[in-house]
Amino acid sequence: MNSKNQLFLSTASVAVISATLFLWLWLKKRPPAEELNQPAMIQESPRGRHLTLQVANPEPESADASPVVLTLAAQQASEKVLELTRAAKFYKYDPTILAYQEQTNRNGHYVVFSTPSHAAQVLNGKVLKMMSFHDNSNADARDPDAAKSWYQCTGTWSEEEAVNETLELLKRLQDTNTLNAVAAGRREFKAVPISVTTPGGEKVRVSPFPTVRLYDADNILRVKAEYRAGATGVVGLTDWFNNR
Amino acid sequence: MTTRQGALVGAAFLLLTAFAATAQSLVSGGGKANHTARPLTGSFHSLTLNQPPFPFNPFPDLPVTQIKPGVYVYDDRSVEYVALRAEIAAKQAEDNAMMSAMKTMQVEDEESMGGGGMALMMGGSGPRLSIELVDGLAKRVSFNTQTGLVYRVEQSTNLQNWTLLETIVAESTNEAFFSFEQPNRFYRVIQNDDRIQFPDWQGFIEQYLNFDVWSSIQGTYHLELYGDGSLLYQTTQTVPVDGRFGVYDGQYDPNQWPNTGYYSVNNWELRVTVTPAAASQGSPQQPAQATVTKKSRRRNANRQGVTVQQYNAFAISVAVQEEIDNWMVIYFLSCYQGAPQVALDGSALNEFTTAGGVPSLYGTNWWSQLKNLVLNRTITDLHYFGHGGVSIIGSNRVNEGLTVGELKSSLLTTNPMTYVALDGCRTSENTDMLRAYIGHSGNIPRSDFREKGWDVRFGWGWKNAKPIGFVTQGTLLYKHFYFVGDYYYKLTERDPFNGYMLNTYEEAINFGQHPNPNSAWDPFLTRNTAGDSINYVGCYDCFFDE
Repeated sequence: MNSKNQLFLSTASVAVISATLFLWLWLKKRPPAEELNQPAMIQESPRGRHLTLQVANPEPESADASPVVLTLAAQQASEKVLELTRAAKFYKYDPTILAYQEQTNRNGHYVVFSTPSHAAQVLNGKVLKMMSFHDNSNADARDPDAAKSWYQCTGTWSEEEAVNETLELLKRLQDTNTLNAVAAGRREFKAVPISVTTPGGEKVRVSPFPTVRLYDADNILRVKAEYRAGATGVVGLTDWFNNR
Repeated sequence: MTTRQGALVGAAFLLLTAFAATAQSLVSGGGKANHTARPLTGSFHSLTLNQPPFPFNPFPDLPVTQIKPGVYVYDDRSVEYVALRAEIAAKQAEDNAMMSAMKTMQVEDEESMGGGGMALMMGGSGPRLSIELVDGLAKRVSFNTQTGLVYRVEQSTNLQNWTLLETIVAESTNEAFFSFEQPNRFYRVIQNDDRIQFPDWQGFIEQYLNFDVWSSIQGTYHLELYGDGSLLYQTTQTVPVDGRFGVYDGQYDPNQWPNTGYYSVNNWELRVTVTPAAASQGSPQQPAQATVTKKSRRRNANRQGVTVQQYNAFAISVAVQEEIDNWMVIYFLSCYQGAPQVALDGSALNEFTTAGGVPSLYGTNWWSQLKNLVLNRTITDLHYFGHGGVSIIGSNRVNEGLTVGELKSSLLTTNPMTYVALDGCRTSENTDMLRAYIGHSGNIPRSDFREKGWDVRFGWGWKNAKPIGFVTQGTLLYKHFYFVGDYYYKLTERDPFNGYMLNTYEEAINFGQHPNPNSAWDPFLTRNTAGDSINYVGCYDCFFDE
């Protein structure tokens, strides 16, 4: 072996040893895998990965929306939302979860889901609130076009029908705590008529959102259920507040 | 003067007033009449009767002796009190009878009524004044009303010359006005002609101009709408069968609410005259007239607010004050989500660096700054924690409080606030103060706001004296703070995708009252009764971020 070859081998050996040493040191600096996987107190949902979710509506309206990955706890919470949507017919509900936010603290577990059509809050395994973005009485605060279809809500609903449907919904949810709480409280029904304009510019008066409020004996609002009127009768639930 | 026009004059005085008015004709052998030389106001004691003094001279014709500045004794030895009382009783009976008769009269001529309304109508069913001294600094004068009727509130210093203080169209069956530091002031309320009424009245216009009128007269109406003194519209038409007519902006599109836009007019005036059709039965009725006004109200384009505490308001320990400071930070960060926050000097605050410096009111100078921000409509949002009363936040000390009187005479009348939280005792025992801040006094659904073109506004306070401060041994009464904290915690929760807030005021309040047991502060708190005495007004089913 001549001196030229020796020099080449020596240089190559030094390079290999240096690279090995550098790789070893770099790997040594990384934290263990379990430390990396520690959940943050507040988790923002990652995007862009597929999730197979059991949904009430097998054909989401916005199929191109990015599905998200749920933590196990969030997935369990999403099941509670699905339970509610199976028990109640939510108007124009799209179950595709666009994003969620999860908090775990000493008081329990809280998740809020956002879909193209609705937001749902689950607090310790119970749906506290579910509301439509585009089709409830508050929708015009978020969607300037929301009120444009309200002229179609010419159907009416009696107080008895509305209250009974709300109580039946609680029964379907097997929410005996709330049922017992509201048994002795007052019940309120409002179907406020408002003026809306048709696409032709004509003004008509309709009551698009008959709403039931159920209070407990202390006059605390326990349940608010807002429905959407259709051409005849009611076409679905748009807002749900269950203060457990 | 017609039968009813200007009739139904309110019984706006106490019995003493009538007593004094009647007494003048029963005095025998009074002294030389020299009214200008004799005081008419002050504290007047009887020489013969053991009774509280009058706040005015009941017998201006009798000799008066001043015993010290502002205190007088009138020589009533010549007054025949038995005859005087009999006279008053007879006059009351007569007035009652006249009031009853007037209510049933359909047609009268001017002469039979003496050509005008009665200045002093005792008894009957007209408005009766009730005076309440609130917080030791203001007199709240309330009177019974009939919804939709027009009432003229007049004031006088001598019971002779009356000036118009305020015209009120009744929105409910009881209305009130305030008298602030007005010594020797008399008030009377006169109920206008009840043949023209204004149902669903609100004395302001925001994004939708409308005046609704109702008349019991079958005939023709003529109305004129003025904007800042200029005639904008007039019409003469037949009164519809149901008596309802009015004027409104046909261009208002509720689908565009809440961004429909404002009018350039500041003051609106509607003059209505209803002329009865030709007489069908008996004598013809006289035309009825009414003039009412509304002010334009607007909302500042950009919200900004102040979260502030009255520092060391409860004479407490340093440790407890620190706890309150920490709660104020939580409130501050919550309020920041509704509106960017500013310091008392109006400079912008940063939500990341201000935590230790949430504004506090230490004394007169700081109160002056807060007043400047509130009364000059610089801020749209206010969260206040400290002492309070029915007509004041702060203390009764000079310049360390903000009174309803100051609010009612400020720019808030045309630019009410968007959000106000008055976390002090009795700030909402009645809704006068909340109304002075946000311009509404009832729980109003969002659909009404939309229908009437109103800007979203909301306010809350406490109905009773809150033991906010401290129970024995200097311990903070945590549940009060838990409630407010839970309310804000729930109110400011946002949708993770689009960022909008998710819960209405109503839902946030009810969550705070019943966290069951998911309070952000106490994991075992199922029911928080500390929040039960909250009183709120405005759009209860609206969101904090709209």
